[in-house]
Amino acid sequence: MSDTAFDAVFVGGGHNGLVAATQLARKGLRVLVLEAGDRAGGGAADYEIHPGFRTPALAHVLPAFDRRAARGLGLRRQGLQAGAGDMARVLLLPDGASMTLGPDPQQAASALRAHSAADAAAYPGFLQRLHRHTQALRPLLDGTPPRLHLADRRNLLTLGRLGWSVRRRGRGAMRDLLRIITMNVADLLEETFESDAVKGAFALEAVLGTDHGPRSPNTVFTLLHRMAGLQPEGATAQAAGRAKPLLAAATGAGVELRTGTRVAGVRVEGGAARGVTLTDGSTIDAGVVVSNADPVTTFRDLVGGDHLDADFLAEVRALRMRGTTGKVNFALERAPDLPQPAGGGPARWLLAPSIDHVETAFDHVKYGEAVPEPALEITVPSLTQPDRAPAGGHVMSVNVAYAPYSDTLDPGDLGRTVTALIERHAPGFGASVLACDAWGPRQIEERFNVHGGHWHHGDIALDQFFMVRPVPGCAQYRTPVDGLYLCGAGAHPGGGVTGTNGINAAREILRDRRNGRQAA
Amino acid sequence: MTQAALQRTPFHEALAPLNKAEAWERWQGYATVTRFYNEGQEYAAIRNTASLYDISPMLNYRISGPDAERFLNRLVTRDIRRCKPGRCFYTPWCDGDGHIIEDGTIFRFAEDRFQLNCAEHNLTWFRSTAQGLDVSIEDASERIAALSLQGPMARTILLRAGVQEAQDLRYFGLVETHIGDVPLILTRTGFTGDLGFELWVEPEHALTLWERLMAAGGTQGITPIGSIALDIARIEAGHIQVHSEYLDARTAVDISEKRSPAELGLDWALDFRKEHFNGRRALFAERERGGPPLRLVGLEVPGRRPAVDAMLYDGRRIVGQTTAAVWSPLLKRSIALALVDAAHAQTGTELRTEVYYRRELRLLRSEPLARVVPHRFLALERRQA
Repeated sequence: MSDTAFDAVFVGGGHNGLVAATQLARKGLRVLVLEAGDRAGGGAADYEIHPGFRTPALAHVLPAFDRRAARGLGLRRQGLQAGAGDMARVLLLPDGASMTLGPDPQQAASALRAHSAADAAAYPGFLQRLHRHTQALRPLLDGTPPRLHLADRRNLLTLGRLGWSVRRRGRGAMRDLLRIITMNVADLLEETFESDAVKGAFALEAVLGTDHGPRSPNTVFTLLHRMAGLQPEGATAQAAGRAKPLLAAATGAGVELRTGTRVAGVRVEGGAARGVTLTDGSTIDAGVVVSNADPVTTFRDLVGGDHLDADFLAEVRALRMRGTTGKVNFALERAPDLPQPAGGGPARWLLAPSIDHVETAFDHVKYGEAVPEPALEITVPSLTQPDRAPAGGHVMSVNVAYAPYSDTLDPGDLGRTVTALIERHAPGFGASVLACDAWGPRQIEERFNVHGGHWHHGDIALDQFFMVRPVPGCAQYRTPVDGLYLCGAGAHPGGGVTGTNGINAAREILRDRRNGRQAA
Repeated sequence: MTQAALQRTPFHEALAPLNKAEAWERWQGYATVTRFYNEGQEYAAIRNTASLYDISPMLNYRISGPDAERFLNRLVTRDIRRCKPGRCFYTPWCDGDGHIIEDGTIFRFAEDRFQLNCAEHNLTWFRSTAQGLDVSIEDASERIAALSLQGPMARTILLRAGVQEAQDLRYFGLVETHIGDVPLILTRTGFTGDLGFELWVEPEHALTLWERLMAAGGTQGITPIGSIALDIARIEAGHIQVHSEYLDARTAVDISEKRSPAELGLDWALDFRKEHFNGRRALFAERERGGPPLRLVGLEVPGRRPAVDAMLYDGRRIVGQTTAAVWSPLLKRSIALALVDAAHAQTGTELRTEVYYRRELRLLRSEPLARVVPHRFLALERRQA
């Protein structure tokens, strides 16, 4: 049976897929989204961990949504509000004490003064420095990366914009950016701060979700990448079930969504995508196939070696996309007794008391071992969204740095390790747990159909970014197969629930259609 | 005693006493003969009687399994499905950018059993191309010894040696047979543009094969030849050779030194009727653009001097250079293979050729006007008859 009613078919309905699909549908294309799981939204989706308790499946701290995506899709109308304000960081210290770094740098500095006058003095300047650099890199982070094809004016323009954006902030700022961007974050923090707590917190921010330790090269870049999404005016929002408004926008635009439908392969004829084949053997025709799946799944498994050059496929296979981050979700019968942020407001609790703590944890995962003392990023989404749990109950979401990709390690052990660690800072925590789901990268891979179980569908590093992401030669959301596009986190600019990848991919697809490049 | 720097081929014991000139050269780590005594005489055997050349240093890959055909069709630019069991097949293969890695021959023994022969190591590239397929690819070079028997008398000598299959074996045909009690794979292939065969045996039978052939040669004789004589013949035949007409794309540093098959006169070997193969997209785009910037041509150069390493000019502009040049004893003229700008590749185009040579120790230059001709200088009927 062949279904011929679609202009574009999406492999995977993650948030980027939904954004791109909606955008295409709004431009008049007939769009079908195929999702293997039982719900769309990918890492941004919610699920019921315990009867009446709904928690974000993967992403619990969401960066500012791409403004172009929000505007273009009318998402505000659908309830995806920009600007829920930033969250305070509550640093959990070894002796059970805590320190709050609020969203306001000056306030945070005064809180810091009790621990270190020098750090209090350095803190606002450091944030400003990071901010200046992320602003300079905006053209790198937001748009479609250029190709090294300088006859094309658009490529030159993009490169020029990036160059100008870096240079116009002054010679000193440019020199500083060029010095630190390839550095490891530990060195940068050592030369800036003296208290372990602050250094540990930023070290965790830099490496969370990546396959790096704080002493791995270019972790300053990964810190900038993450900070770009968490800038104060970037309006961090706690995961409000971001998938829901996206889904509403997609449906409203006329996108057809089929969940529980797994794609077995992309059909390629004469070097062009002609549609997809499903696991049940049926086919769906479409001149445009957009993959929300990661590059390895897309090229190695869905397209395959019969349609791709061996050297291209070798580069895809060589992509570093080993997941190292675990996810533990809890349903709690009462609020956890964690230290409260001074000044109130939404908070993230960071358990990363020093650089060495994070680096030692990384040493274990580097060799595929369970991590006895991982670093944690904890959120309690039900504090700001009480409807996530029955009255009195709460849901907690924990990112674990690190958890090894392993077929043999019991994810239950990960859950027990994390529970015990939180118990130290929230007495009685263990007794309040109603349900606990712990996933290592292997489980994330299976559950979310992401090769390697990596947050970003491929590690974030300078050699896997911008015009070489995912691999050289297909960095503009296009692929070697005509009519096949990438729109997921494996494309530029990586993961983080921003919708940027989706909106950029949609733009390139529409551009190709205008230029008649799409296969008939 | 120090160990020899170069390995010895299975035929070394037979070759060494005949090598009066003691002229050896390196080929894939093996010592092979440059000339035995006189390259002119050796060349004459190729065209007039029969010549024997040791091709054991070639790389031989055995490819088998249910996906063997599928693998080869990913790899090579021609459609392997057009090569039936019992046939041989010449084809280039390219990287993803459509740049040639190498060219070679493929023997098809059965639906799922092949042997690929080439001059450079390719195993990693083959394995990389075979990802996900049920195919076994092994480097069998050490387990294969081979001789190339070329010349108008080649068939007669094989018949005399009792290899009856030589009688009817068609051009690019292949047969598994025996010479006496020695298992032999006989192919109607070669690099000389002449009537000829290649004979493939296990290394322990190498010397037996040599003796049987030499015995069958009788008084008319088989002349063992070195690489110089072979090179003259292959230039006359217009066969390209790695390191002469092109570099392996994987080893060329300068991208402008990478060649596409179409630049080397192999447009005919690009089969766009089949689905994807390595480099297909790039090669298709190249064809759509009107072809590559350079073309392989033949040159007829006035005078007797071979135009070795010569620049080619259109007026004062350099438009190409020779890749191989030789005095052709058969054509009685100086010929050369050359890569020239497409605009100057038309047959009949005259290009000023800058040839340097020495008279005693003095360096002199001549500037003959060479004429562009098809790069296959020779079309001997007996080659395919």
